[in-house]
Amino acid sequence: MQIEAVNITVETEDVDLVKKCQGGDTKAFNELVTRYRGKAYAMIYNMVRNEQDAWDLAQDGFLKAWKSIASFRGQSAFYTWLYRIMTNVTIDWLRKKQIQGGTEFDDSLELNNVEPGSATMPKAELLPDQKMEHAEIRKRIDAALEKLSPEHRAVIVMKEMDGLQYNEIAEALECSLGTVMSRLFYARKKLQTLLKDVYENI
Amino acid sequence: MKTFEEKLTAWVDGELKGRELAEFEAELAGVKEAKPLKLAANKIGGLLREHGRAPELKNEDFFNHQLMQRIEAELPKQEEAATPPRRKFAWSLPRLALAGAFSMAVAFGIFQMAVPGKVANQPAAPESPNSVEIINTKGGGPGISVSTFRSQQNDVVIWVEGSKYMPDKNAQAEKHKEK
Amino acid sequence: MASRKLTALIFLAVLGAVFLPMAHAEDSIWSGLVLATNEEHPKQTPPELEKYYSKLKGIFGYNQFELLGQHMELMDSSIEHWLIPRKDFFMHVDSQKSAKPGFYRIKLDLWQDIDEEKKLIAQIEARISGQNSMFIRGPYYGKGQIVIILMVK
Repeated sequence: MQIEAVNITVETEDVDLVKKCQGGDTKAFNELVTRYRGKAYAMIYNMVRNEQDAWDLAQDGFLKAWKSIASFRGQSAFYTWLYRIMTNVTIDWLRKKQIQGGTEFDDSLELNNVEPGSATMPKAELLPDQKMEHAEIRKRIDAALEKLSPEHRAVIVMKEMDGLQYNEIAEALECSLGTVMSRLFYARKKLQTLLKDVYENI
Repeated sequence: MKTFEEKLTAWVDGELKGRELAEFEAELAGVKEAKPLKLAANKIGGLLREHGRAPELKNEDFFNHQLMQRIEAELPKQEEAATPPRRKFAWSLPRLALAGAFSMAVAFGIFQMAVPGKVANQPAAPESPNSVEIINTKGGGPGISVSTFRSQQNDVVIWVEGSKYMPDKNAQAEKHKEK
Repeated sequence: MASRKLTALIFLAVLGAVFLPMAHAEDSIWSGLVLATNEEHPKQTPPELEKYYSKLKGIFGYNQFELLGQHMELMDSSIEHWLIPRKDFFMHVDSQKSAKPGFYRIKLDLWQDIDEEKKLIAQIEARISGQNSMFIRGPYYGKGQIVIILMVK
């Protein structure tokens, strides 16, 4: 109950600040930025896996939020609204990058579908006592996430790293619950293929 | 009606409850890799959370400063506030000068009598705010920018952006100190 | 008329007597060239930087600070100084007493020496008074960043 009370207080304060922003008060917006810059940056970083890109995109997201602050009606919490903007900015950027040939998202790779009666997957052949360095694991994670399409990357990052529920992910991505769950399934399958030797070896 | 993948995802995340859970687990009974799959999904989640989390945002003050500069550049130019009207003093200038001179003389006299001789040996005064003023800044070439801001503790920070990275091999090994 | 002139003279003399001592001839400018990095096990901060640690951490976000060099110069009028003379990064300072009592006017030129080519990277003009410091973010260097601290002592 105490946590709820704190959340309600934060939301009320955000609403007050938003009202000021809607009146053109940049200082109020600066306060909102201070509150949510860390979270926004972390969410974007988890998607793009690069500090400078995450910085730039977080800035772009906040700028977009400022420009469209008049359209915020208070139907959701401010951070939920902001999160949606940041997600859209990030996914648009990733898509643009894909078109420009910066990365390859290969969702079409043959996956071992789970069907009743199919053969058991083989175990990894690495020695069980091998340990991978944190930096190396991180690199592997970055590389694996880059292989996912923006949409698949978004759901897995939001679920596993941002800790969102299905309905929150659906709201942020403006898609159905079924779509979220289906994308999660395929994202996990792909990551299992790409990271099997990593998670079985730590 | 959920598809198999949707149900499997919900089952992996522990979101299936009651009858739906029992039915699905019955469906999975013949699928040997179902449990390893759930285990793998949980391990991947753990891996991402433990090793993949984002670093902290560095230079937070500058983040705000840079963003607010961009926002302010977008704002329409506002007319400067009108200066307040000049006050009319009741006293004439000679009277004011005399009063000022008298009070300064008194203050100076007290200062000379009360404060010990060597001001230089006194412990360093704490920093006074707003005692650093930036008059002008300029980047040295194309791609280099210089901006200034005050940190949350009111320190003046000059931010030079766009200078070239210097690898360690360029550095001299010596560190020299002057006493 | 004569009494007015006398009043004005007394006033100015008293002002001068009160304010002139503030601009000490023995004021100096201290500069520190700092290498800021992020380390898993940061080394102890050098004594000269201890008082700046929380500010440096707050402003720049690093957790380890090494003093690569430091320099002290007398603040004097119309004299140019080279601060932190290093082969690859150095600063030129021109200082003079400001018209504003108690302040010094400083002109800083920051130079980088890359592949034996001197490059001017920034020019800064500032007014600074005693016991005040300012921080300059310099180039990335090795696995960290150069930060310059300037303080009038």
